[in-house]
Amino acid sequence: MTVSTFIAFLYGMFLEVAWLWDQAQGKKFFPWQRTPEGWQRIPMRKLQWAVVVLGLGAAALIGILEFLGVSGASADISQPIPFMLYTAIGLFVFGAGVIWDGLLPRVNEITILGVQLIVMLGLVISGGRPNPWATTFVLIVPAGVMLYLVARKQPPGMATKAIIYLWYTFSLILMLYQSGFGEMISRNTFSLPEAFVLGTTFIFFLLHALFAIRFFIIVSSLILPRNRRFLPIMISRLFSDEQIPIRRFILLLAIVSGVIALNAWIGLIDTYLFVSLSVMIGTQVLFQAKQ
Amino acid sequence: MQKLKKFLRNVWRGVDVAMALISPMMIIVFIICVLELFYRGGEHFRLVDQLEQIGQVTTATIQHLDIHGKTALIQFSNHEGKPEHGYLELKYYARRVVAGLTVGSEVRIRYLPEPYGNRPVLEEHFRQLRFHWTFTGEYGVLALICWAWMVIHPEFLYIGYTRDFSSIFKMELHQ
Repeated sequence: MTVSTFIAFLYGMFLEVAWLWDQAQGKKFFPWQRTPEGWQRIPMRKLQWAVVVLGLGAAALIGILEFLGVSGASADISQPIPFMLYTAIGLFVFGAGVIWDGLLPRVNEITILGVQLIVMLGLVISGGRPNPWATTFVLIVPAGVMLYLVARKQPPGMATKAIIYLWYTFSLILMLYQSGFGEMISRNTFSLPEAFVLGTTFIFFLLHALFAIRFFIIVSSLILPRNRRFLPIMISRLFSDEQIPIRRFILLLAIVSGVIALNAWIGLIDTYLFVSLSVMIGTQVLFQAKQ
Repeated sequence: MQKLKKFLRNVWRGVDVAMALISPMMIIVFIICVLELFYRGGEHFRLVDQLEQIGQVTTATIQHLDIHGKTALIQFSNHEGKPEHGYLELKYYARRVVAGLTVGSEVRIRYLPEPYGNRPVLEEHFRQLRFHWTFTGEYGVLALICWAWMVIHPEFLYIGYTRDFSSIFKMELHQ
């Protein structure tokens, strides 16, 4: 990465952490909200000011580096400052994914169905080589089950919710694998928007991937009946029974699919990266469960 | 007899408490193992994909066999006609296949052209390579042990989900 793209990447990560933090606290991240009277402004808080100020600071710094002609200098992990920053980020993400629960967004059946459909669309559009067995097992069958649960309009039981959530995290990992996220991260050339989007999606997916490992053990520990009494503590924080109206879901999904297809056609941002961004926005905004 | 039963019960309780106390370490070891397995799995499947997509097939001569090190040094001519050396990883193949290899004999191989490093494999057994899970190795075994440990004592996995963490252990004690 160059210094400029590294700054954009770091800012993308900070923005995503701030956004997830606010959602976990049950607060509105964006300074407006929809009320029956229409859109309404909300006074900005310290965190939102920090996001704005750091965003302007990052843009100014990139501008200065461009002006000085050093924006193309390399900033990789072998250098002391990027190394320290990567280590700090790694420790933070590890703590947030494995020890602490504060950053994971709550989901419901519609969120998961939306994510699975977007991931499937991404696999089809990208023209990659998805393994048909993996796709069927991890995406199509669970998406059918989710469709049934959404249509049934009754909240599933605790154990079912745990299995559904585990499958949701598996879908995200499958997406990481299919999109070659690791290779993408180690790529050297990014545009500034790509680096920014990569920063946001990197945090989102890494948190979920680490949590998936922890959650896999939790779900498999349910084999012993004595462990089942712990489950409600966790599931109530991860899973919401609130649903968005099905018509709104279909409309939003159609819009997201259209935008993904349009991006793939225009070639603005790497298709996989854009699908990752759509999954993130789908989970945190469009199909979001109440926190 | 009663004293023996009581003694054994106390020993078991001691072991159980020790297992519970060590379980946070097991969580970390398990996660490290899984991340390593993902990395190794990614490398393995990427290699198989690359061999399938851009691999070249040719005939090679075995120059040296290291059965204990599970490698065989081979020489072959690449698609440009230049001589190249490479190491066949014998861990992928059954004993009878390895036993059939001798120094000086010729084998059909599939290799990667430059700049990927040749990474040769036996063409005859290439189809089985995708499902060869040798990359799991010792990390797979360690992950399995940690997993079993945490199935018995998952309490620390719920850290962060309740402010009254002692309640989880209280539940355990009252059981």
